[in-house]
Amino acid sequence: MNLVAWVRDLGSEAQEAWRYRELLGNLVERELQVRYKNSYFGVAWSLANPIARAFILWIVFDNIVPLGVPNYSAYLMAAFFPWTFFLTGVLDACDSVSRQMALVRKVYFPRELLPLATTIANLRHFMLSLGILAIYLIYLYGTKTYATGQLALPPTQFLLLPVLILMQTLLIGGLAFYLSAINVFFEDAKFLAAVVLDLLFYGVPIIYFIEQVRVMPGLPTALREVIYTLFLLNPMTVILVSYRNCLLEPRIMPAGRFGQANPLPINLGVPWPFFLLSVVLCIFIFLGGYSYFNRRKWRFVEQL
Amino acid sequence: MSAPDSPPAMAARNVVKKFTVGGSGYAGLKGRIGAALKRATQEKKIVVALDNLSLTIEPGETVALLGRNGSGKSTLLSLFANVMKPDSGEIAFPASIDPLHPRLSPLLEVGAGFHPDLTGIQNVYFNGAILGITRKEMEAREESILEFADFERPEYLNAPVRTYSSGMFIRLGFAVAIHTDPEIILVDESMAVGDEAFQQKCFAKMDEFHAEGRTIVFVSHDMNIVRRLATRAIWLSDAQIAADGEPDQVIRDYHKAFGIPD
Repeated sequence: MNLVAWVRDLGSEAQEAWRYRELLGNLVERELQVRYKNSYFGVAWSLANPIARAFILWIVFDNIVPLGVPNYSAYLMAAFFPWTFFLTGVLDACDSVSRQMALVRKVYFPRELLPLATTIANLRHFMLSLGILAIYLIYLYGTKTYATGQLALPPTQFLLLPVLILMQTLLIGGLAFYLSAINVFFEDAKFLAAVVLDLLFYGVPIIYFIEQVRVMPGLPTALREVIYTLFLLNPMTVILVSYRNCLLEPRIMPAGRFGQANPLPINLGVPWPFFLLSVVLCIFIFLGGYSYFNRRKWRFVEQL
Repeated sequence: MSAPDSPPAMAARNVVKKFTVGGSGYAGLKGRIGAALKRATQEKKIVVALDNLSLTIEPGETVALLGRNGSGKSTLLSLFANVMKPDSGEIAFPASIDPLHPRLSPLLEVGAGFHPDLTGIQNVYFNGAILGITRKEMEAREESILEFADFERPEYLNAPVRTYSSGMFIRLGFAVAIHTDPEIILVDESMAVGDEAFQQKCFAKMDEFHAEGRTIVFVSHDMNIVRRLATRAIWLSDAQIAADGEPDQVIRDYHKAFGIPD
């Protein structure tokens, strides 16, 4: 298809969706209301989850099995919370259209509001969990300031945080468009996505560091470099690595941990070339997903 | 009826709508693999719901759609409600203030947008939003909506709608939909429900809409309702218009075709 026509189509669809922005706000509200329906503590539950997770990670990895990296639990959380945003964002979006077919069949509104609403509702939950992480970080940097007598601050990459949140939201929104449209015609999509995401958890650096991939024992150097590059071609890897580098300082992992022979410097910085590539990828996945969704949205109600 | 040179409220021009039935069996992975294997032998069945249908409805008309199940009534209503697009042909609203965004109020199975776990009030606001009413406008209309719904026990408004009786559900849905200041009202067989007092209230509201010059299109199998409300009746049969005109005449032809005495 002609690129100019493609952009123009996307623009006019987006303009129509923009007319309905107030409804989008209502859909987000409804997502949040329904999630904690009938529960006594309501939205407070969306805080309980990250608090419990932060606490358990701190107990296990800083107290029971310390790995020689100070405040290891903070490094885990800095990747774990964004991962949870990705996981729940993508899974909730899968049936965002198919579970609301009663509405879709009866009333006109831009259908793309449905996957967008689950994405934004999950973004709101993620912001709450970032708030919990922020409290922990203030405590960490605060105690360091007190101990050294010098003001301790997060790395300067900290300023990148809004960009990171935006690119991750675009990535989730793009996948939400693809999966919610596919799931209307093919209801296995949601289960398939759940399996793939479960495996992907181990394929992105959450419970390990990207630097460890580069020194994997028992492999030739050339192969390790190829694997390392493949990791960084995945935008979620780049996003998780960058969150860590935004929030926390580099560290040295002592020798012997996880099997590496020498002390290993970790959390070394944002991988810039791959970061820029990921920004481009996230934008393309979002626009491509939107276009894919638009080409199918008028056929949703024709499923008999 | 308005002068012939003024634009119609609603127009369908050479509208064709077909559906594919069976065939690929989209239900799941197993079905899909099975369908792929069978594709060589199995033919997809194509059902023509509307076959080159053209009609115009003038502003202020109250039109009843008659016809047996599967005759295309609901498809036509869905096309006017803009939840479907025709395969070919055109649907237009030339008399609307904004012809691309006519203010429609679809009373198609009222309350379809209600979420069972949200309260009556929450659903009223959400339903209003989906019909294009801002929160401010909704606040101004809330009292009038609740008065129209007329719950014997108002405390139910703060209970989840899954605890409602079907009558309450429909009354609330209907109440929201008629408070949206619509140019065009589309009604799909929902007036036959609710108790008699509520039905009378709905008829009174339809009369009021009619007196205000709004356009109404409704589907009904109840000829008494058609005679009571409609200024024009259209009988759909086999994806085409079989008769179009005075309600009494069209009902007579319709009954004659099926051998039903008047």
